[in-house]
Amino acid sequence: MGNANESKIFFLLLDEIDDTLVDIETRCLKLETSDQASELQVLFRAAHNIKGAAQLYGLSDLASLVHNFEDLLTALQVPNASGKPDTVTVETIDVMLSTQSFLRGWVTGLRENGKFSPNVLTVREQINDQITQIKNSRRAASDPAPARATPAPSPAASKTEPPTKMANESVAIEAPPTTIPTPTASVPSEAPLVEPTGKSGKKKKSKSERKANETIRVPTLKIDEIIQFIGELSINQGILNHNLKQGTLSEATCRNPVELNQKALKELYDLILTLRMQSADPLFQRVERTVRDLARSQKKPIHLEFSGADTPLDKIVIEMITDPMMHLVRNAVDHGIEDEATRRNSGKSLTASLSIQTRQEGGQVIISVSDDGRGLDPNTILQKAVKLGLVPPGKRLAQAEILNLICLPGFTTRDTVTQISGRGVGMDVVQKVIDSLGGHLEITSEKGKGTTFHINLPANLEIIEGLTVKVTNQLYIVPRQEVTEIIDLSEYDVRRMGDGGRAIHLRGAVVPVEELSDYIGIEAPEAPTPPGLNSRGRKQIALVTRLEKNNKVAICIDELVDQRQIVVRPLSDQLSKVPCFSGVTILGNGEPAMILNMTVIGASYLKWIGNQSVEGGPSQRNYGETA
Amino acid sequence: MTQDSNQKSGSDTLTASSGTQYMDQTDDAKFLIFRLGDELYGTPLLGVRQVLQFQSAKSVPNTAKHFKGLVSVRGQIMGVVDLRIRFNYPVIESKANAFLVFETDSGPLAAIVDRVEAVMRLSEEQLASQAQNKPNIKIQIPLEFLLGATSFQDQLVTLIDLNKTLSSEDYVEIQKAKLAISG
Repeated sequence: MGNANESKIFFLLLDEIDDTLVDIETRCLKLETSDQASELQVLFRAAHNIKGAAQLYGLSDLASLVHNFEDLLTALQVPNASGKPDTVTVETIDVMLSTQSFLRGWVTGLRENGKFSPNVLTVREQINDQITQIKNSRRAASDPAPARATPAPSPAASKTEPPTKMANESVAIEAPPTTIPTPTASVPSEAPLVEPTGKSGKKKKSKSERKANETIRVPTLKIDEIIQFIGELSINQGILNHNLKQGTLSEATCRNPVELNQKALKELYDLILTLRMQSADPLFQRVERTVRDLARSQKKPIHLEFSGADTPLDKIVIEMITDPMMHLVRNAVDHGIEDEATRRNSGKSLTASLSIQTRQEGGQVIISVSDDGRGLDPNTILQKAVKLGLVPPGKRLAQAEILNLICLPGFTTRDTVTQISGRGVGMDVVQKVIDSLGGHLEITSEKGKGTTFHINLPANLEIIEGLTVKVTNQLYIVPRQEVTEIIDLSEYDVRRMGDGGRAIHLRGAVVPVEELSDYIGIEAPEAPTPPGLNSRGRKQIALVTRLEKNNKVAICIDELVDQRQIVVRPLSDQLSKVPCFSGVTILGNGEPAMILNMTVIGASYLKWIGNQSVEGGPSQRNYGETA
Repeated sequence: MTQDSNQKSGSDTLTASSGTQYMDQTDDAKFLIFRLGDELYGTPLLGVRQVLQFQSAKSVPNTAKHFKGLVSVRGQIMGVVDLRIRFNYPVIESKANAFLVFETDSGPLAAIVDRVEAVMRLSEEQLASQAQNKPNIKIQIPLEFLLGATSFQDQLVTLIDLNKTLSSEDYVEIQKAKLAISG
């Protein structure tokens, strides 16, 4: 691909074209509602920019298609007899959007192969058709008898669209709505989620290749801030260097620069993390486009509402969550929202509403997708699940558990497969992606009133406040947020319980005391017990952590070493199966330390207790009751 | 991973292959020969990222006995598997103990061996004939990862695809009763 520098410019150029295409999409969508004249002007400028950029790099085919697109825009701007341009018809907007999708597919193709050039005939035909039509209708408008415009793109034409377009995810939705959904069109609609086996291998490779060329936009102000921090760091480093040379390196001379550097590093890290945070706008725009096209093809008028689109999200999160979001939205339109007749019969407003909300809550970002459609029927789901053999018959489940059944692989309530959904693949993939991001999916639904999917994601994936603890001579990290308090057991009256466990009274509640070493201890040659420890050879420090239903458990550790900010690194696939750990980090001395997942320990404890009492052991202890 | 092959920091890093050889077309047929106890084993050189000096690992609770824990190699955290325990050889500490670092499908993994012996080349034909001739040895690995046997300095060498073997194994082994229930 030429020399490195040249290809770098090429990719920047593609990025620019891509950005402009996104802008074109926004404007096209706005054409339906806002002031057309000004939007058309902006569109024209955007198209012109693309043309210029494409010519600059010798992409003359692309440039000439964009030129065609410009012609269409020009035709739209020509005023009619009354001196004002005609309203842009929905059909024209369809053609504009499908041209936009085609161009995006083209750019995607170019990223993988610099010589990529799809067949533009069909698209060009569609555009020219539109131009002729607009001109005709203008002529007709001056005629007394208005001629009816024929639907622009013929179904036959759309079928012969170049197969290269399949590379673009939005291919399913760009099929002109006037065509009848063909069975072949239903495959790509779910393709981005299921990763067709045929091309997955090839696709994977190009993805990693693309990663090297991936860019991020950074406000210059942030770069200035970063430079300022680097300056601060070098000044302090200079002080240390000076002292090192002079042989005056001591606590007195180091303390200040070291502390300042620590602070600067932390702030620098936070700042650099924010660079990865991007607005979720492009994601919402794709949602908007999908909803618009689906609404048109299914003839369901939908009012789409966004809130919190400016909530910043990690770039990776945005990338990974896009396909699941598309799926949820498609599901909502196809399964959730009823057709007009049904809505009329059930006394609902004819225009359905679909709202997408993003908000930050503590350390979490919550994205909700809610519709006011028919809702999920727990009975139907349960029956279907039993029929599909996913649930043993006669099993009793809570409502939330039943709703979660839809995330099982192979689950579908549809008897027929439609263009949009119904194959029973998808929800399980949605669930998997969310899991892989460390988040979880919550479903709430009321029959006849609608369904809401809440995607809970951690806002910041990388850095946490951690407590370094020692257990059987090993250091572990406990996330600070998973500990409600740290107590010294010697200040409490530790009682033995009937079943051999121990417990204390903590502000009126009975809190069981567990040894962390019972869960993650390592039988190592016993280190000599240092003085000042209790009979069990342990210091009396316990971390109190929350169990479900507001109950608590105190977990004894051998030693609390310190509290610090740690960078969380993911565990390898094999290690992530080891219970109780959520990640790994590198300690100050360069050694690795595992990060404990207290929730898993708490859950194991509850299961252990539950199991003991089932086996005819002592009656189950009732924690959390006031004594 | 070619930057690793360029890095030579004295005795402490022994790179698995030196510069130009790494790019050699016939790499597939090169094997890294190492010793476990009295026996010799070979693994495809291409699967080995680097050879490092032994360093002690941080234990991870509730893992199998041959999973020695974690080490940090220049800021990268990787698991360590003791092949001596895995293949039932006595664990004898020696200066020759080494880490073979594999880039497995689930991330980097280091394997402890008694000693690294050599790199040897097998022609395609030799390898093909070896595939028919799988030795009946008593190490528990799937037959598909056993590539055959050859000889090196008059000693039998068992050829194993360690990269695949290590990728496919499960290292979790719950030892704590209180965790066993949560399964």
